[in-house]
Amino acid sequence: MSSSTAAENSCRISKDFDILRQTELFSSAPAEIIKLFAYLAKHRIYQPGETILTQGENADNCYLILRGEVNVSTLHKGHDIVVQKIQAGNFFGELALLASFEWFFSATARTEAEILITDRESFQKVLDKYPEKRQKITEKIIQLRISRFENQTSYLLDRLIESGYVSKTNTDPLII
Amino acid sequence: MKDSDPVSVTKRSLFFWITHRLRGLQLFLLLIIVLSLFFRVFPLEMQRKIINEAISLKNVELLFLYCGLYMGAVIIAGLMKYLINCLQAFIGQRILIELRQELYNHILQLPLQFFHKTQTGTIISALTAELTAIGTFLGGALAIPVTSLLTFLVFAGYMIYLNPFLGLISMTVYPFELILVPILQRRYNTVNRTRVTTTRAMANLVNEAASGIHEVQSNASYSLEQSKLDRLIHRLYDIMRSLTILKYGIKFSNNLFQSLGPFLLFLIGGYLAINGEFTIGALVAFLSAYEKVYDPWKEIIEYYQDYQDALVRYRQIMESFDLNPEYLLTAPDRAPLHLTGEIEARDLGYTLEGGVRLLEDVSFLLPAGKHLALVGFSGSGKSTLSLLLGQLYSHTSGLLTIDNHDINKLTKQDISKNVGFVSQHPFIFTGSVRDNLLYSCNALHLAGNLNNLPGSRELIEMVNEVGLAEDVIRWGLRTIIPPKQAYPLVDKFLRMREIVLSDLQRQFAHVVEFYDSRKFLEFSNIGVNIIFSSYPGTPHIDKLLQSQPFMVFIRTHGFESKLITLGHAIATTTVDLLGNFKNDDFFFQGSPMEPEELNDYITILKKAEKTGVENLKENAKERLLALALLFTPGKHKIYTIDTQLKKYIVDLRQKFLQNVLGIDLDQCRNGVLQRTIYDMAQVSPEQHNVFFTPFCTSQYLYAHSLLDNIIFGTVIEKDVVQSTLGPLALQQFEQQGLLDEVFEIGLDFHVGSKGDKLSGGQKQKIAIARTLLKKSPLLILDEATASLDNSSQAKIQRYIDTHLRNKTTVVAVVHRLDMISGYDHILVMRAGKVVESGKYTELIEHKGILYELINGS
Repeated sequence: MSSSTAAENSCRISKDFDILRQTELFSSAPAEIIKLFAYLAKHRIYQPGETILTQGENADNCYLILRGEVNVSTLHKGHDIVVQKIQAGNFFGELALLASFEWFFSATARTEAEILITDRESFQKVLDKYPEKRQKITEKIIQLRISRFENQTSYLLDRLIESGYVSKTNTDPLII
Repeated sequence: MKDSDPVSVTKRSLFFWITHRLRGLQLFLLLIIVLSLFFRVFPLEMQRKIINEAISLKNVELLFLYCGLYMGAVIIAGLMKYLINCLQAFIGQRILIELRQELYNHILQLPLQFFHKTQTGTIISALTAELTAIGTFLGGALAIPVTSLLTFLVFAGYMIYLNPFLGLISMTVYPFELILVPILQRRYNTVNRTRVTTTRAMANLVNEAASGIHEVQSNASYSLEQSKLDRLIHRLYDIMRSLTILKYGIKFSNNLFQSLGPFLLFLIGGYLAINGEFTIGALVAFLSAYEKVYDPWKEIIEYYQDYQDALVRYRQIMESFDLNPEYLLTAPDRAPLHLTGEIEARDLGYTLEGGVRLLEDVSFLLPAGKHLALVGFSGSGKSTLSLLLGQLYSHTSGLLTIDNHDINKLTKQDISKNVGFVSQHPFIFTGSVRDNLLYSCNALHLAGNLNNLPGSRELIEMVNEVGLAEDVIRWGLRTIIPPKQAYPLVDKFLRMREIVLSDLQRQFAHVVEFYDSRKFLEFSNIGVNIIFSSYPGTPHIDKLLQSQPFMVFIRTHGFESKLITLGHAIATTTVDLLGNFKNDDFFFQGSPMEPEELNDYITILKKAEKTGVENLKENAKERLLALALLFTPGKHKIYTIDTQLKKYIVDLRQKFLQNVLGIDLDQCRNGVLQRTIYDMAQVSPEQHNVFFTPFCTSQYLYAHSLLDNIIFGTVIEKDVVQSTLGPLALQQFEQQGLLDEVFEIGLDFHVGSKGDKLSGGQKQKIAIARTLLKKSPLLILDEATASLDNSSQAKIQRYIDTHLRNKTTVVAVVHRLDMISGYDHILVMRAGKVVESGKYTELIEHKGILYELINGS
């Protein structure tokens, strides 16, 4: 059997392979690893308003938005406050690949959203097979988390400015 | 019966079991043995007479007579030997039963510390393999030496009767052997002892690796574990080598001496016969007797070996369990007490062997029916105190009483009847949920302390009280109900299906794939997509491959070869991607291939490359066909099929349903299809699963779980469906009057080995329920609700506060301080001592340590 027909027919894997390859997270990972992640990742379509993950539940999955938009919110003193909007092409929940913890935010589909889900077990099992790549990918995940954190802070500050709580010209440090 | 034996099990000698058990039967055995001796000597005498009288006198009549008598005696002797063997084995097994029962009973009562120190593997192999070996010995322990000795004497006597000189000569060979064999044997025993310990170490090692398999697999420490075993295997090899050399050395010396006898016999006997001092007939009889005399000799030697072997095993077993249980099981002079549950502790202390004090100077008085909460820092001794109250540990100083009885003087029966104990990490036994719920009650019932076991009604109520109701319903839903049990309920189940289909179809559209005869089912395999039925042997594909109608159908429609090509393509992509993951189940989740089949398929693919797929052998083609039929597009990402093929399969399905099963598709969809095609065929419910049952809304699918049947489709997102369906099902089952039936089904759910199909919370709730069902006057909870979520904790606390108030004395180790306000009395502990004690409100007003604990944390 020639491998060309095999590649043609395994098109779901190839599709996800192309998507994952283009993300920052896997930009420097070898093809065989990305292929395994593509094979193990699951697709799921969420309806507008449907909950993707809930604060306080065990974090096991990392999510990549293929299509649609997702609200990230935090429960604070009884209020569910949206702290970030994430667009297609971005990850969230990436820390769940590295460690077990309880979600410190909730995520809800804003529009109909197609999401590619990778669970920690898959991630760890693949890296067990390629231990030499673990370091690099772990580093990428932490960088990704930091950039999302920066993103989130600026989103929150924008909201603050919008609400007139603080003016751009104010030079005093803001104390919340 | 056994309690009357004054000697502890472990102190008894091996022969105790033989001399104290089944005496009548053993006596009977002895009698038969003695009787059989006559029939064994008699043929020898006939041999002599046949030669000396019948043959030499040429008397045919005498020949017939003697031969007839000879044969008759041989047959009787054979039958008796048969009976003796059976009796021996029977006696051995009967003694073994008692030995095993008493030893197991003894072990179960040993102090907890024993189990902390002893590997489970040791106990298991002692009670199983090693005792079995002893049992085989025990059966013949008396009979064999007696038989052998008597046989020996009788044959030796016969030989001396024939010719005293020759008889005595041939006996002289034996004393040599009497010296040599025991020497070799003693050496054999020493080596054998090391064999037993090494084998045990091996059992422990394997047991440990199996128990810690998570650790082993997650660390991939296969070679580490292997190397541990290797050492033992090699040691065992060395031991076995020495054993073999010794064993066959003994055999060799035996054989040598055996041939020495005939040598002397022919030399001396022949000389005597030539000189006319000995008849030929006597020589033949002598030779036969000599051969026979060797048998008991050999048996005695073997017996000696077996005896030594059994003794070694027996001593080792008994030594490892030679401890005394701390408490009596029952009091000899009274029935189990009926206590009210008043607890008093005075200067109570508990010190470990090394001198570490876990508890000191604890004093309190808890009136019957009152509730006491033990709170404090971790390591403060709360748990220790609760274990002392449960008689699981025994205190080392001070006094602890229940109803003024010293707790150390109470028997296990007293405790079992009066005290319920729930630990933090309860153990769940392999079996059904019901078995586990009734565990404590069954123990009481067996001991005669409980007349009636709780009925289903009571179980269901308790399941509700501890918040397990939804779980039980969920287990019921997951069950494939046996046809006989499901049959009477089918109409009601189908009614629920209608409700789901009409009310929930929209809501579940994204999480359930409903069975629709016009649509390709992404989450069912290709086989099911074609036949759109549950088939005989669902979900195992081999039964479908053996189905004549199905195979004929795909062949006549020319689909078999297409499927084989598909299977070939799936095999190819799987081998491409997963060829290096042979031992890893995890990576095969996205392929219909099992990891252990990988090598077979690699071989098939190699053959196909040479000969072409169409020229493969039939069984190779069948493997590819199986792979294609098992392929489930929604689950197996390894391969993708196009919409054209899916459409073709749906068309094929219509033909299968219409032409092979003879079903009207419109009727099937609209639910008007004859509901019970089985009733038409007039077969009993047990036979229902021998047919193809089409996925028509009016058909109950006996080979599927209740959930599949009610949802009437494949659940894609289990969590979503369960969280939505759980409460809804509860409500619907109630409306349909099905609640009790589904509860019953759920209660029969098998919890897996040691409850591994249950979550931590479910285990905990079952443990609480099984203790509450006992209705003991005293309840001890050692952080019993710690692993439950908040609402479940609160629910159980509410039950304790309302149902048990002033009825049951409760002592609870409480971790969460917001749960303690309902308790009558609080003890705050720190470093093994009581640092504060009083009513909740008093302690809070006093603003002492409890106040700090609550507000500081």
